[in-house]
Amino acid sequence: MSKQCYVVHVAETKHCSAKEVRMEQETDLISKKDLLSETGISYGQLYRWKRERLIPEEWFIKQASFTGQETFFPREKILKRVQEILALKERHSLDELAGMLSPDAATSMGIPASDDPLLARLPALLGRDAVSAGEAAFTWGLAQIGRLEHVPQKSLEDLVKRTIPVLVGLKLVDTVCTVYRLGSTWHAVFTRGSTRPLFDSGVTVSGSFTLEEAISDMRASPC
Amino acid sequence: MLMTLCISFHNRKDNIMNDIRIDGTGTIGAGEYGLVKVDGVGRCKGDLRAESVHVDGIFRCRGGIHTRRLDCDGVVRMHGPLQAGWIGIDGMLRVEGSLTTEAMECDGMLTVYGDVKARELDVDGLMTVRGGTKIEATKITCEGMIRLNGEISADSIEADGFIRAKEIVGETVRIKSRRFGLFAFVMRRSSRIPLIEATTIELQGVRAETVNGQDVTIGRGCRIERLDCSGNLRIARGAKVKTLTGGYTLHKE
Repeated sequence: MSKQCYVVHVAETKHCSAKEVRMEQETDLISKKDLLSETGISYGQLYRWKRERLIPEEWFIKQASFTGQETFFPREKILKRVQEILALKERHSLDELAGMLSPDAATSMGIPASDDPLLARLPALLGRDAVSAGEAAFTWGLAQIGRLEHVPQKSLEDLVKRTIPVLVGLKLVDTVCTVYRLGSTWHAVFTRGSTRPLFDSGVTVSGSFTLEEAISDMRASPC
Repeated sequence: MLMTLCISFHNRKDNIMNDIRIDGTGTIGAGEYGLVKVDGVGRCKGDLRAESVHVDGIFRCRGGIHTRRLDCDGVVRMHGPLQAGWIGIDGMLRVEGSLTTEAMECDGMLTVYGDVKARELDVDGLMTVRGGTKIEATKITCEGMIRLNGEISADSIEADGFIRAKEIVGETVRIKSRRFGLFAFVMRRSSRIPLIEATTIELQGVRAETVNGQDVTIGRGCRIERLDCSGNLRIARGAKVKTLTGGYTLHKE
């Protein structure tokens, strides 16, 4: 039997910082002042939510302006997040909300009942019932790509097993997972910010997703 | 020089953790203890976990400290993070890592080389954050001095002392800096903060580049470059505000 070598790459693009790329690509920004007037929240609420990790620190983008320095946010993300917090804060404590909206990759969580065989197999693949948000997000995103690209179940399970150790310590916010095929083996590479990895022509990219989006989609999916 | 070693162990009935008392000079290993009391010169070889730590002498810990209560009436230096339910400082405490606590009363000197996260901070002495970039708390009161090259974020910040920080943000920020005590000799008259941003702001003796708030009161001795106010605004006669913007309602002082 030939010996197979599996590699999970963790890449950090070094040409320019993630923040620079993000600022170039996220042109649709909203200033702090406009955010407060549009949503009706106060400075106090905004900063309390930041302290409670309900709003990721990465979304506070400082840019030079004629008044010195101003803080901007990615418009779509922040408006959606503020609406979510306002809708949920009466029913949940801030700690609960933080776990729901901005979980760390290490936060323990449940997996929604799903027909997807990969998700159903996750506890068995991990050898434990407790699943972290990072593990759940990666498996959910991978399952979507697997369905679209008709990746064999065995290959997906192998990839999950190889990738789990890499997920420890990763942040959900701003972490992008790109799934690609090299020969007959699928691999995953994780990058920060909006930078996507570039591959040579021998590699086929199957798809990519951010861990944060994957966890949101998972929560929004009907159980 | 005669060095005395006196380390006593008390195995408490209700708890298997040992109490340690160092009256002379002594070294303890990393591990879990009940009460750790240092009246002489003590050292810990690594991470220390204890019910409570009380230092009247000198204590150096090669790792971090995790305890319910830390009383520092002497000199404590630790090479790792500090996590404590309550911290009282009447002496000198140096933390070479982050600091996390429910409540802290600092009447002495505290230097932290990391971020600070607390529920309540009461600083009547001198608190300096060097390595870290932020202090996060629910409530901060300061009659002494807080210095850091970063952000202070809290629901309520009340300071009669001095604050030097890049940003102070939160729900309510009240800073009334005035000259008093020892600080009058070593520090200049006003607090200097490039950015203050809060729902309610009351300032006196503060120099700031940008102040953004809903209800803002600028008292005497303030020098503000840019002020943006969206609610009620009061400016005292002795205050200077260069640029004023926002949909404010000006009230006479």
